[in-house]
Amino acid sequence: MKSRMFAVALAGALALPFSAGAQGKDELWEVSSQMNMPGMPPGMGASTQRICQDRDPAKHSAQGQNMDKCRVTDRRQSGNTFTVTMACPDGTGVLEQTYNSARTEYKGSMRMGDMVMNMSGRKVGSCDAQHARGEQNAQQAQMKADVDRAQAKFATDAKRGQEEAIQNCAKAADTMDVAKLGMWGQCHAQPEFCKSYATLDPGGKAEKACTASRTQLCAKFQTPDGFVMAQGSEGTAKVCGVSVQAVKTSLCPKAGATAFLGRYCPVEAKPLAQQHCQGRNFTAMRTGGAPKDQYYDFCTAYFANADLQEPRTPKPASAADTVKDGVGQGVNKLRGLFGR
Amino acid sequence: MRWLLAFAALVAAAFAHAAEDRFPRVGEAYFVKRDGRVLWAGAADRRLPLASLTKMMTALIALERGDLGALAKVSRSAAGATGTRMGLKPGETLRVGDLLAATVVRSANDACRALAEHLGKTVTAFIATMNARAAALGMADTHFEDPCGHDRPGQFSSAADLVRLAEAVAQHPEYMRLARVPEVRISAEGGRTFVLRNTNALIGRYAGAIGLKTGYTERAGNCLVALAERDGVRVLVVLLNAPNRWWNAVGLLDRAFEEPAR
Repeated sequence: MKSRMFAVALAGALALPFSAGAQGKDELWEVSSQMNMPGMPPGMGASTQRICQDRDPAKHSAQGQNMDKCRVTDRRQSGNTFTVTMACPDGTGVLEQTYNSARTEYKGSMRMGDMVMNMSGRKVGSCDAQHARGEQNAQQAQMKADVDRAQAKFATDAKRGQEEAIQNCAKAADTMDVAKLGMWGQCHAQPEFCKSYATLDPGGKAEKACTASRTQLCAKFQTPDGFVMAQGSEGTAKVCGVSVQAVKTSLCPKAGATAFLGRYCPVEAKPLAQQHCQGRNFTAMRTGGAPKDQYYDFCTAYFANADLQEPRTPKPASAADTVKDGVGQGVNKLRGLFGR
Repeated sequence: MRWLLAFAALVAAAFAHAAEDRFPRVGEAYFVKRDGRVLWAGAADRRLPLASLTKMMTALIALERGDLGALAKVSRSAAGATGTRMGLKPGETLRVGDLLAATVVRSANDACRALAEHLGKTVTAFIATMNARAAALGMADTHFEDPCGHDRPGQFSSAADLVRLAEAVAQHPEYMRLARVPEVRISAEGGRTFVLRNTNALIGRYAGAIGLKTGYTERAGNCLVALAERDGVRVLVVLLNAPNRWWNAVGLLDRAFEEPAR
């Protein structure tokens, strides 16, 4: 992380932009630079820019954004080669530049640890570094204001999103709509994913609320009414970490004459249907012509699903099966009464 | 042209076969589509008698001819049609639109036959038109010998073909208006008024039901083309020889609506 900061700082040292209208005592250089960092592709961040800099390398090395905390600790000149050493919060940086005799071009590098920024420069005119710095500061102030605004908007949006998520999650169990749990309802299964979006959930309120809603929804999913409301959804079962078949197997023997039994438990429903649904036909039931008694929901669900049940794994025939076959024939005859 | 139709039929057959036969007990053949997507189908290409679902084709031709205000005279043979009828008398005159209404809503065979005679001049000529229209729709497993659906040798269709026919009639607002009304009131010119109740038991009893046609004959058994719409989602169910057609239609429609949108 420190090395990355320094790379930014090195780049910033060259980033005093040229102001076209500012002619003066300082030098305008066209500088090409290229960063080499361990673990990063070579030549990363290659760029060419025009920069206005002081004639003195020791001064211009400490110019630019992020370099104001660096201090020049040593400066040397040997012929046309200048070497400047700086102490920065993240370490020691060394700038070396070798100029041609006319001092119109240079080649050099800035290095800190194993990071190196190679650069070459060509003088293209004169400028006013102070004026350029003023413009740069104004731009930076503007950028900071923009960033502050964006951050404030992000915080507002995140809060609104958090509130909406909490409201939706609160409805999930009532409606048995697993989609309402949203991403925060999945945190039990994907904690890393939720952690990576923690900035969208200040204080972890949505995660907490939605995790509680999920618990509530999953408990309800394992009741006859909740299972019917969720339409026996595989998606809900998955979120709850149970299988649809396991819930049916658990609930069918004890469901009673409910819509759940009529819809999801063909074996258990058959004898009850024969006993309690006889004489109820589609037209009468659907127009209020049949009694809406305790068996109405069961019979409606049974009739609408009796032929739609997927067959269970066949078992070896037994005496009990023979009895059931007899019951089945009776139900078939019963069915003949409906809807013809 | 024939090659094209054959190719279209092959494509349709391949499409139908691709659907899962999840509910083999609902009827001899069935087809379920949700918003144009095939969900489930069984024996979708099997040629079976189609009973009064035939009348969808008669209605389609009437609607495509377009002259619903024209007057049609009821012949003796039309008045003598057997099965479900509204009780027309020979010599009575009705508007084509009213005969269409009686055909779609009440599945009245006397109105249907009068309509076929009026549109085709002869029943034979009208049947030829029906078969030509079926071919044009790519209904490769369909052939008509009767305009109203009576059991006849050579009168057959398939669940997949009936989906095509249903989608064609559903393009006509007048058909859709008629298919969803609980009852319709029509009058003979200067004469009797008839109140005809819809034969489709789903209308008014299943939330979102909007059509389309019922059928029953001894050979065809209970048949149904059901169309329902909820929250902008449309489900079409075709059932052939389905003894428990109303409840099975309800079960299939419910399941289709429960399917996740794609």
